[in-house]
Amino acid sequence: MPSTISLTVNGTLRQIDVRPGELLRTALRRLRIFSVKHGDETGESGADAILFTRTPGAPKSYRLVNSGLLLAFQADGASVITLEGLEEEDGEGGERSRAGFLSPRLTALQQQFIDCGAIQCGYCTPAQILAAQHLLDGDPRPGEAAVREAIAGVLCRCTGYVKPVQAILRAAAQLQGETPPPPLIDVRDAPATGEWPATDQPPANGWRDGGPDTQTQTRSLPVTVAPPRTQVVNKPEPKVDAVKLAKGRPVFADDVEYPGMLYGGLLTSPVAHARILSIDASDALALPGVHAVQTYADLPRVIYASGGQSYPQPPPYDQVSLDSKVRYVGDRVATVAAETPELVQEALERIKVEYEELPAVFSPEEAMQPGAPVIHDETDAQMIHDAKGNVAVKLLVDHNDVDAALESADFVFESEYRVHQVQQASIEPHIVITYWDEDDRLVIRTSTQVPFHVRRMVAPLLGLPVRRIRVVKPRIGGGFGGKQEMLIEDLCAHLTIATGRPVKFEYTRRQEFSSARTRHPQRLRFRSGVDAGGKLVGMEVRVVADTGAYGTHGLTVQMVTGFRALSTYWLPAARFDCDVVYTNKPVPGAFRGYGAPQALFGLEQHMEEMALAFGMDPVEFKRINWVKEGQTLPMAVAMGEGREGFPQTVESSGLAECVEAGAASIGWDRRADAGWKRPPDQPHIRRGIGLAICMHGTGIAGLDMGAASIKLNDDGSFNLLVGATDLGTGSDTVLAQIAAEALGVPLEQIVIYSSDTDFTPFDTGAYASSTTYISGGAVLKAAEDVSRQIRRHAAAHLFERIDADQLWLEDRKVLAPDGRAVSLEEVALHSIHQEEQHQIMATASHMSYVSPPPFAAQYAALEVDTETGQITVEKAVMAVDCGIAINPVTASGQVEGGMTQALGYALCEEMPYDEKGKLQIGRFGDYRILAADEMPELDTILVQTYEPTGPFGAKAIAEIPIDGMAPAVASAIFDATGVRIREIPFTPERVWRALRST
Amino acid sequence: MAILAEYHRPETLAAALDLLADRTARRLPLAGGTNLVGALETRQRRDVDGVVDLAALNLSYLQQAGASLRVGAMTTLADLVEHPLSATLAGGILPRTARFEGPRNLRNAATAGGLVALAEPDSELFAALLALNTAVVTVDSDGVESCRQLEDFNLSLPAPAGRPALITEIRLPLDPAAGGHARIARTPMDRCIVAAVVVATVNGRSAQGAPAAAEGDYAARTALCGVGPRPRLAGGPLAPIGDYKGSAAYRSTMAEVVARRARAAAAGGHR
Repeated sequence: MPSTISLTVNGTLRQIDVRPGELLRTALRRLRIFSVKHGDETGESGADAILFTRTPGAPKSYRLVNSGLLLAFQADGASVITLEGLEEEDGEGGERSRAGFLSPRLTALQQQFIDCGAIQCGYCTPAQILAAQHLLDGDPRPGEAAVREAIAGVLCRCTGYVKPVQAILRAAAQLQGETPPPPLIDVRDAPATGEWPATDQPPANGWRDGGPDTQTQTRSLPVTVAPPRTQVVNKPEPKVDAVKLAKGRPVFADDVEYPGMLYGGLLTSPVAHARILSIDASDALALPGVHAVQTYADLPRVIYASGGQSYPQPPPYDQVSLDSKVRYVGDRVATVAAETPELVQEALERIKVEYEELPAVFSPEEAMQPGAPVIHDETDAQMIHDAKGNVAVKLLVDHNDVDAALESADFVFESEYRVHQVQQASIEPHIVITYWDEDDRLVIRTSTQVPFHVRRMVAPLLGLPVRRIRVVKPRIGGGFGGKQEMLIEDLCAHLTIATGRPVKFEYTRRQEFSSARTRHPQRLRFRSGVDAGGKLVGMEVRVVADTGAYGTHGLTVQMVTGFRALSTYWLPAARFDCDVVYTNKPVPGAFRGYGAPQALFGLEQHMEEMALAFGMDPVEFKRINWVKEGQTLPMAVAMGEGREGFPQTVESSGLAECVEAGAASIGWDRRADAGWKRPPDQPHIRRGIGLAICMHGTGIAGLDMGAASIKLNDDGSFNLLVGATDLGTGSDTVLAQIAAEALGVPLEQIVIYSSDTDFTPFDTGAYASSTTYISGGAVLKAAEDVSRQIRRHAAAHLFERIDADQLWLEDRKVLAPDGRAVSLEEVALHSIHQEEQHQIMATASHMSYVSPPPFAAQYAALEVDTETGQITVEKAVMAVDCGIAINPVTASGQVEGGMTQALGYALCEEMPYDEKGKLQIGRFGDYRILAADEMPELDTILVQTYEPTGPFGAKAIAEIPIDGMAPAVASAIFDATGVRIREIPFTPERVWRALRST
Repeated sequence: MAILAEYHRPETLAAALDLLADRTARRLPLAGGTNLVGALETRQRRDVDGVVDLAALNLSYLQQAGASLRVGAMTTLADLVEHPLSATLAGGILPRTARFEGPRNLRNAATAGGLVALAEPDSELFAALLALNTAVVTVDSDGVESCRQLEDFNLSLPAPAGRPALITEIRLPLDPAAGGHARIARTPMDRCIVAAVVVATVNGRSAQGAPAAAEGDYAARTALCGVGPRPRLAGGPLAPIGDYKGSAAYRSTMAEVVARRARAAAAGGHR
C-alpha cells in the first residue's frame, strides 16, 4: 500500500506517495527530477547519483549516493540535492557563453563541461557534475587523482574521462579566480597531403563525388590547421546540445510522462534451446492492474530480420516478434503491460511456461558438426544459407588467383586468432514508449540510431502502413551500434495496440547483456605470402563467426571483417572465406567497428608475426605494404555491405605521419632501453610497447543516404532538419557547423533538430561512420542551395545592378565586392513578407559511391607482471587521419572514448557462459567497463589531411578508434615478454598461462 | 523490480529484532542497501516480504574504547576508513583496501555491518578487518550480546531457532602494526581475483621499517580473498572456487604470490 513520505528535494519539502518497494530514483523522477537516470539496478553505473543526507541541518553531511539503491521509504525525512538544485555561484544568470549560447545559470562546472567537450551522450553528465560539485565543495583545489576518484562511481561509456577530468580541474581553477587557458587539442597536418581549395572564395562545393576534381586545386603548401577561410568549420565549437545536457533537462526517451501510461516487461527464456509446449498466463492476468500478457499465440507471425539496415534487409530472415521456440537464454517468451513496474514483475513471475528442452550448441565448431541440433528448423525462415547445418551466411570472395599467388610466394606464413563476445553497454538501456496520437497514428518514442529503418521495419510486424507510424528519436544515451537494431519497438507497440494505452518498455541491465546485441566472436585464420622484397603477393582469410541465435547483421559485419582484413595492406590477390554460424547464445549485431576490430586483431598480429618470421622489421614490413594514396581497394568491388560494392581509390592518407607522431608520443625508442623494459627493482615486471595501424571506412559506398532541410527564418537564423541521429557523437553540432559555414553565420544561428520521421527528411541513421560524410554532404548541398536562393533574392530586390553570383554570405550578411551589404534578416523579412514572397528553403540528399578510409596508428605501452599475468597499460596513443576535423573537440572525444572501449575489449570485458549457455554476468561490475580512476594516460593526435570527396575535406572518426588497441596491446605484450597471445581478452590468467607455456 | 509489501524503520534494537523474529512475514534487515536493494531489484532475492531498516537504531558511530576502536554497524565504509584512528591503522590498510569495495558513492552508503554480514569472497576490506584481528558484536532477540572474532563469525550459518541476531558493532584493536597488501585484478580498480592483506608486528612494534626481520620474526596475520566462499586467514588448505575471472588452480597458485608480496610490503619491501 502506498504511504506518504516527506522529502526535501533541492530545498523544497515534498510529500510523495510511495510503495514499499519503490526506489528513491523512481520517486524522484515522478517529481520530474529527470537528471536522475536509470543505468542499472545495482548502482554500478552511478547514473542515479544524488547528494543525500538524513541530517539536513548539517550542510556538510550530504553524501554522494545512488538513488537506485535506496528505497524511497529510506529517504523519509531526508534531504536530497540533484543537478536541478545546483545554483550558479560565479556569474549572473542569463549570461552568454563563449559561443553565444544562452546559458542560464550555469555553474562553473557546467560551463567547463561544455567548453571542454566533456559531454557526449550526456546521460551520465548530471551525475558526473554532481559528483564533481561535491568534491569541489570539500576540496576546492583537488589534484587529478582526487578528481578521478570522485567521479569513478559514475561510469561513462563515451568520453574516456579525459575531458570530464579536464573540465573539473579547470572549473576548480576558475572558482579560485584563475582563468584557465583554452583546452588544448593536438591537431597536426600531414605535410604535402591533401589539398585545400585555393580560391579566395569559400568552396562552392566542398566535396567531389568520386569523379574528376573540379573544385579544388593543388596547393604547394601544407594544409593549415584551420583552413584560412572557415569561420565555423574546423573550430572547437561547443556542442549545440550541451547546455540542456549539462543542466540535466528532460531530453531522453524516458524523460516524459503520458497520462495513463503502462509499464511493459519481457519474460525471457531460462533455457538455451526449447520448444514452448504451453504458456499459462491466467495467474498473471488475474492480478489487478495487469492489462495485457502477450505470447506467440497473440501476435501475427511475420518473419523479419532485426538489423537496422537499408532496404532490402540483408538476409537471413529468421525472427518473429514472439515465437513458440526459444533459441538462447534470454530469448523472448512473453510480454506484460501493467500499471506499475512491480506489477509487471509480479505478472512476469506468474506466467507458467512449459518447455521441451532441446540439445543446444554453444560454439560454431559444435554447431557445424554433422548431426548437431538444428537451431532454425522452422519452415518459414527465409534465405538462411544452410539451416540444417546451422550456417546462416556463407561468404566466399576471390580477388585474382590467391592460390597461384601463394604458390609463387617466396615466403608463406599462416596463423590463427580468436576474438570474443563483448557488449555495447551504453549507460542508457534500450527504452521505448509507444502511444496512439489523436489521429490514431502510432507514435514510437525510442532510443534508436535508426528511426527511419525502425519505421519501415516495424510496420509489417504491427500490420500498420508506414504512414500510420511516427518514430521520434529523442536524445540517445549512447548506442555504439547496439541501437542500430529494431530491438523492442515491436513488443512495446504490440502492447499499446492491445491495451490502447501508452506503454513504456525498458530493458534491465541484465537484459541488456543477455537479450540485446553484442559483438561477433570470430576465429580468424590468415595465410599470406610475400616476395623476396617483403611485398605481399596474396592473402587468404578464413573466418568462422558466431552469430548466436539469429542472423541479424551476421552477413554485413563479417563482410566488413573480410574487407578490412584484405584492404588495409595492398594485395594483388586475396580470398575471404567465411561461415557465419548459429549457436544457442545471445545475439551479436552491430557494435562500433562492425567487424573491423576483429579483423585487425588478427591482421596486425599476423603481419607482425610474418615480418619477424621473414626477418624484417614489422613496422617497415607494414610500411611497405600498407595501402597508399592513389592505390585502389580491389576488394571494395567484390565486397560491398551485403551487396556488390563500388571501385575505391585512396585519395588521402596521413598514415605515415600518424605512425611517426604516435611513435614520438608513446616513446617508441624505449623499446631499446633495457633498463626501462626490465626495471631492476621489479624483477617480475617486463615492459613493452606495441603498434597497430588501422584503416576504416566512411559510410557505406553506394548505399548510405542522408538528407537535410534548411529553412530561413524571419531573423536570419536557420532551421536545419536532419534525419541523422546524434547518439552522443556530436553529429548535430558538426552538421550545424557545416551549415553555418556555408551560410556565413555563427553556429548559434543554426537551430538543428533531429530526428522525427514525421518532420525530418530521411537518413539511414547513425552507423558505419557515415554521418559527417554522408549527412554532412546533404547539409552542405542544402545550405548551398539556400545560399543561392538568398543571393538571388538579394540581387533581385535588395541590391542594384549586381549578379547573384558576385555576392557571398558572411557574418550574417549578404556582401557585394563593392562593400555593400544587407543583413540576412533583411533578406528574410523581404522574401517572406514584402516582395516576391516565398519561403527560402531547400532539401538536399547525399550519397556517395566512395567510402574514403580514415587511417590511424594506435600504440600501447604497458607492463606485464610475469608472476601473475596481470597487464597494466601505462599509456595509449592514437594518431588519426580523419581528414579535416569539422570539430576538433568532438573528434578527439570520439578517439578518447573509442580507445577506452577498445582497452576494455583487450583487457577485461567479456561475456562468459556456464555449460548450459547462461550468461555468468549481468551487471556492470562483473562485466567491467573502465572507470575514471583506472585509466591509463590517453593521447590523441589529429593528423589532418584533406579528403576531396568529403564536406570541407572531412572523413570519418567515430569507429576507427576502437579498431587497433587490442592488437597494439598484443604487440606490446610480445615486446615485453616475447610471448604471442592470439586470443583476447588479456586477462591475468590467460597471460599467466601463456607465459608459463613458453 | 523490488516487490515488497512492508517497510519498517524501528527506533530500538529490540523492536528491530522483534520484527525480524516475527515469522508472519519474511523480513530482512536493511543496512546501507547497496547489496540488498540491488538484489531485490534484480530479483536475486525473491523470498522477502519486507525490510527492517536499521537506520534509526543509532548504530552509526566510531568511538575509542581503551585499546580498541568501536565501530557501529551502521557506520558507512567511508566514515570508517576516513576516521583518524582507523585511517592510520597498519599503515592505512583500511582506506587502501576500501577503495576496492567500490567507488565513493557506494562506500558512502555501504555499512560496516553489511560488509561483515555479506563477507563477499573478493572483499579486500573484509580481509583487512580479518588481518586486523577484528571482533564482531551481535545482539539476539533475547537481548543477549555476543562478541566473536571475525574469523569465527559467519552470519550465513543458521541462527539459533527463533533468535535472529543483528550485528551491532565491530571492534578493531588499536595495536601498532604494519600493513601490507597485494592483489591481482583484471583492471587496476576492479574487484580482485585474488588478494592478500597482512598485518604484522615485531615484538609488539610495527614491522614497518624493520625489513631486516626475517619472516617468522614477527607476528603476522595474513588474510586472503578469492580463494574460497569468503575471505579467510591464511593457513590450511585452500578451496578456491573457479570462475571466469580465474580458475581454482590459478587462484591457488596466486594466493602464494600475493601473500608473499603482502608480507614483503608489510615488512617495508616493495609491493
